[in-house]
Amino acid sequence: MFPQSTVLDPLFWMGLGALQVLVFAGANRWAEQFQLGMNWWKWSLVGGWWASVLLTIAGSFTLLGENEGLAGWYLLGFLGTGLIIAGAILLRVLIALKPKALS
Amino acid sequence: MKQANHQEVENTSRRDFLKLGGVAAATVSVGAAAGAGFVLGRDPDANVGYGRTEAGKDMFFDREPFRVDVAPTLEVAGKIERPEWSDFLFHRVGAMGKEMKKGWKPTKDWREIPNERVREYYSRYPERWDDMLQSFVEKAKHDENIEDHRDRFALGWAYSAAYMRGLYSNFPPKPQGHPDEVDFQWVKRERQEFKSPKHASELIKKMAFKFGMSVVGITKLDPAFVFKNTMRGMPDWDDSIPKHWKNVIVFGTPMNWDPLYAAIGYSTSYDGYFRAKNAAGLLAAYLGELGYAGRPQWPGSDYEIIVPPLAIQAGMGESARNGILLTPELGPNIRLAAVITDLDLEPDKPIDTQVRHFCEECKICADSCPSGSISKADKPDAVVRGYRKFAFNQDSCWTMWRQGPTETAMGCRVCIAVCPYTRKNNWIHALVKETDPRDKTGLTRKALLAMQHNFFYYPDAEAYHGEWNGGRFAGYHQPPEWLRSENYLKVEQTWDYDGNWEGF
Repeated sequence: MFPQSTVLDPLFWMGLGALQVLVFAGANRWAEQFQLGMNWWKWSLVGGWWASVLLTIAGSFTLLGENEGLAGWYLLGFLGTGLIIAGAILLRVLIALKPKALS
Repeated sequence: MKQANHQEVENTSRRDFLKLGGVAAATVSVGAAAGAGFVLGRDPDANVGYGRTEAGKDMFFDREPFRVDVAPTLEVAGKIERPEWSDFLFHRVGAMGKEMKKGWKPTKDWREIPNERVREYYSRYPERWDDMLQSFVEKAKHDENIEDHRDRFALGWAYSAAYMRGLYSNFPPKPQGHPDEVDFQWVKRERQEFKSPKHASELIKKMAFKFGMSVVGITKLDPAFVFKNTMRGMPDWDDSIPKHWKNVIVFGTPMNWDPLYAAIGYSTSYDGYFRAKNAAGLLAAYLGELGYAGRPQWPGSDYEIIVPPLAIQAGMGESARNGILLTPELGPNIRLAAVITDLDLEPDKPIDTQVRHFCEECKICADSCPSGSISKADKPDAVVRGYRKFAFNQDSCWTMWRQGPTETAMGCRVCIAVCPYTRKNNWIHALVKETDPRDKTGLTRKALLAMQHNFFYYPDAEAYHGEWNGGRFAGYHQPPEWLRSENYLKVEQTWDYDGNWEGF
């Protein structure tokens, strides 16, 4: 985020890491509210999907940053669309697999 | 009462857990801070100006899993022959330049070339004389038109010329005299023995990095890549190879990335040449200080050897479709120099990173080549001095050099700029460069090439030409801001850029 900055760059990554704790803590609250009955493999799928989203955005913008504009937008468009669809499917699966006792 | 007790025990347990957990988390945090601080303290990126390069971290790709006994791109397919003096383009054009200064005017008949050795080359490749003849025509057109575009290219040309002045400085000095003496010019005392050839190789490679090189390898001197009848400083030299020429240390550095991507007009080879030449001189002097011979080889044309195949033998990379060295880290964006020495060194082995398969399927360089000099065949379609490779017409390539919008009409570099391996060391490209050579199924390669062919913008081959030849001065990328004269000079911008941009 702050290339060649010996102070801001490590601080940024630490902050981003801390932010992920908040992201998953918040996700946990949402899952509880909707009574999704999350377990290890459901969290793995959600975590994998979220990591894919972040990596796709980061990868696309890396291409934009190195002046590969067309490739950056195409990558974001193709993979991003795929990930949105995958996210909707994942959400539908999580809802469909809600434990009956909790619903 | 019993319920209240149970509640209190539970609360105490939770409090204890949080207390112990807090202490543990704090301990881990202190350890992590210490560890991260230590790593950051050792980070070669902190050594400004001598960061990754000096630490050898430019050469991040671990070649060891890919070592093979025979380089796949140095497949022997016929009788191996040593190169002739005239096989080197710059020998030929240099000799013809001298003849033209004496009044010779090139004609359509190659048999009228006054220089015997140049004539001998075109007796072997008569079909290439038309291309060479055309290069004289193109250079004349270039000279008539180029000044009209100085406003646009002023900063790029100045950048290039600065390095050119540096390149033509007198270090290292051009060899003058017999190699048995010249190659020992830096030796001032008895030689100091190394513990072993392995120790010597380790140290020499570290020194190449410290002298600013990004990639280095060592190989035995293979006579197959030593020019015949060629010895700088010795006009009449036979086929012999000096006995003290045992090993070759080959090394290289990239051309500056953003100018390269904006080839032709904004790019230059002189930055890479200058740095590689200096490193060759420094390494030769260093060897001399320890008592060993050092004969530096440097670009553009100060060679007794053909360096790229020796770099392949030294495991630095493999031969690409466009006929030049492709390294895992820099792709073909590498300018090579070398030092021949009598120091006993442990040679490296070649590598197999599946470059041949990549080049067979990619063809982007061939499709983009403004002079059509690169073969578009599915498989290597030529045998050159005994080695199978893709056909490449160096004379038609030279024709493009002579009409490109550089100030000196030297160089094109489009095939290097567009190569999918010519990518900076950022995380996505490093990930790809690490993954593709390990994927024996080829699926990664096919997926990457599908993206490369469909997602990326490549100007038409004709667009790279100058406007006087129907082109648009296109580049694979638009030039960086520091090469755009309208940003810094009092010029009126009358042009648009054609090339990849940041996308906003």
